[in-house]
Amino acid sequence: MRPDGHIRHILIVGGGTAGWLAASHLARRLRATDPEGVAVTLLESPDIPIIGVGEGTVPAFRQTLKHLGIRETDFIRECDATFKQSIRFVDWVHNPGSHPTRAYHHVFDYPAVDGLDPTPYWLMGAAGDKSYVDAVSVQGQVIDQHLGPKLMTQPEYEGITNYAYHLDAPKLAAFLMRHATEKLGVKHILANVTGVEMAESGDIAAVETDRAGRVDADLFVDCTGFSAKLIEGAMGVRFVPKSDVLFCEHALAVQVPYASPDEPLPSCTHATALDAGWVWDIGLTDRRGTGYVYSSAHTSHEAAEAALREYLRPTIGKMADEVTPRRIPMRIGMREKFWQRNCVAIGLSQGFVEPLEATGILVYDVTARMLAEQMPGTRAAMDAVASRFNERVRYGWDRVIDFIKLHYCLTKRTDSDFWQDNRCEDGIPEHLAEQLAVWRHQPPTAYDFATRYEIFNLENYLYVLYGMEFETDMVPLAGRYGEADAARRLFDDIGREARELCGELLPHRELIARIKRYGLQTI
Amino acid sequence: MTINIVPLQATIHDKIKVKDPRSAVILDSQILPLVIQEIPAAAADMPVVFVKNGETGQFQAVALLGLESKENLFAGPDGWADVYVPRIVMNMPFKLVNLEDGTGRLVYGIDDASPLVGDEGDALYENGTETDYLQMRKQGLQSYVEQDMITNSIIKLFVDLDLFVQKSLGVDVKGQRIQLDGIYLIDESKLNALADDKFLDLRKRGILPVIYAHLFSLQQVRRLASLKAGRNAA
Ligand SMILES: Cc1cc2nc3c(=O)[nH]c(=O)nc-3n(C[C@H](O)[C@H](O)[C@H](O)COP(=O)(O)OP(=O)(O)OC[C@H]3O[C@@H](n4cnc5c(N)ncnc54)[C@H](O)[C@@H]3O)c2cc1C
Repeated sequence: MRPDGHIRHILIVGGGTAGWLAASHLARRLRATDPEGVAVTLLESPDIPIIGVGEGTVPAFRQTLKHLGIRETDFIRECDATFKQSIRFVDWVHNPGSHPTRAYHHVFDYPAVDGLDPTPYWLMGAAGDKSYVDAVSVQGQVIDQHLGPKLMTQPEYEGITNYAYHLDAPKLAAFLMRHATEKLGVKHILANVTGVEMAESGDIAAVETDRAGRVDADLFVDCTGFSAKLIEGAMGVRFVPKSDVLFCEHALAVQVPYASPDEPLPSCTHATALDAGWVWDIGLTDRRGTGYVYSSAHTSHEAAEAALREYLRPTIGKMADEVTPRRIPMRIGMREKFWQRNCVAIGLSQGFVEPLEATGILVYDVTARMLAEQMPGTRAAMDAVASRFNERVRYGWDRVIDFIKLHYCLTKRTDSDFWQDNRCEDGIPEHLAEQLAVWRHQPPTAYDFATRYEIFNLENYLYVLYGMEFETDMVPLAGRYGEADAARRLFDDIGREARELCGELLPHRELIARIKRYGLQTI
Repeated sequence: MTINIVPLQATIHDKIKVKDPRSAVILDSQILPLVIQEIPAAAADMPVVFVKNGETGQFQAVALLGLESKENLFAGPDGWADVYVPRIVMNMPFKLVNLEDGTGRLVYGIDDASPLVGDEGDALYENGTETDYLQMRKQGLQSYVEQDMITNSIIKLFVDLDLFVQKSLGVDVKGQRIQLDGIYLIDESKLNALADDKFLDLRKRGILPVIYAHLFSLQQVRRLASLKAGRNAA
């Protein structure tokens, strides 16, 4: 540490998605290109590969790319990105084969609230037999027809419907690296951290490396993935496991080809529930990324692998027997603290829950930006900022866990222990249980999401709650909603708008091809 | 309007004649693309603006001919008024087309189905050889294709220099406000804020008169309004 205690150099250890996102946010906000700014260095091992999964994002990622000064056209071209407009949940509600409705969408467009909140009227049946999503939004229909979210004439980062991306994770890390080093002034070192030198105060003084010697800094950001070299290894911060709430702690990931190169390109993530977990299925331009996320307490690794092959068989045929899935153990939970003294954990080192709603990149991105924007000027000011940071990030993770658990605990499935156990009330976090108790008697409102640090909001809950066929008792409330005619007109309008829109939007695959060929304009 | 472009051939097209393209009836084009070289001339009669091509999202320079979609206030049932007629019209019914034989070779083609084609006007062949008229038209096409390529590179330069702004143009037609969206202009303040070397480069390439003609032509939106008012009255 320098004698004046000023923060002048930040070292990020780890060059996965989290490391490069953190480096980019810090460098941009703290002006790393300016000699008077804060220097930002990212050090990563040339030998330990990044985890290389994490292909789904949420719409906030779009703002991040823009904020970092990245061209959407470049990002789409270089990260094999495609558009994601929803997550489509298959077989989450009913035992497979027992019910005509197999799937629901959690779309990214907010319900169309045009002076009139449609939700209570949908609950009271004013939309007939339309699903919740199709009643309140056009987007489900856009997705069902494999259409893209935007017109070629729209500028970068703007769409007709709200969207996020699917992307190739290793390509994203490489792309962010180029941007961070070439444009944002991040210094890049390839070396293995072999030891950590502690100061007398208990701070980290420097890291020792095998080929770049000793590297010191004023603040250290641990982005070393599940290995958590600094936050756990050096600072000894405890991990708080959450596997009693979210049971899935293994993944089997595998990339598979399309049956034909012009197969329609889905613009949603498919999340298909199986006996002991669920399969993600993400369409990039030239391949799919899939994986079974499961609870090893409810199935064996062998059985899980067999289940994944069965899932793939209808689309890839006998190649389902030839692919070799990679098994990834996952640490489910988060740190007791995320910022301890002069060490901050961002990324898998900080915490992780199964990738159901693409919360990984989201939380790492949000916390990296929060870190950059709150970076104190001196070491002396750091502990107070850290303590608030810890509170907020912990609040964020707790709410993420609530939201993921929501997808499970509302199931009506009874066909395996995994689903039975998920219905069990013991596993439901207190805050979520409280919310559900309220929502049994009235639809959720913005009042139920009171802080600025909510990661998921009213709209996200609405799609999942009513996609999962959650029941809100409207009978005592019926007299408060006297605009059923207006609501019916609204539902009709949305239906009409959806049909018109579907005539205007390009097929998703065609849209991506044109963007790659012509590029998008910035205005 | 059906379009049926076939390669020009003496054996097939020796009998036909072609009318003056100014008689072409293009009633339903609100905009027509321009090449950079014709912008100053077009700007004297009609607004010249930039729009995004719906298929590709790329900017293109266009003459604005009407205030509503499918409205061309400069052409009536008998053809074009006495105004500048965009070269894309003046090339009709000819077009350079890619041969679909795998070679991608460019050949001269003619739109057989065009109302300009018939037994009135200029002949294309005489005793199996090309008339002077046809040779002149072919040269026109050839230079148009070259100018189109230059146009694309200049528009790309405008994009790279970040000169465009989106503008919604409003005019009153007999007390009724008409709003035109999806229009892009070159922003004068962005132009003035260019670094000296960039500005000098535009000047050396002779692009400045084009830009000023475009900016000046925006006054012509009022002309569209009065043409429209006149038409409504008639
Ligand atoms: C199965 C699975 C699916 C996922 N799906 C999604 C998803 O769809 N959406 C989403 O948002 N997130 C998803 N995630 C989370 C996603 O993987 C992470 O968001 C992202 O990849 C961040 O990883 P990371 O950068 O923290 O760690 P890693 O990618 O593991 O990077 C660790 C870095 O630390 C370096 N390192 C380690 N030790 C040392 C050392 N001693 N010295 C020097 N360097 C070292 C390594 O070289 C590497 O660069 C998923 C995660 C899993 C497990």
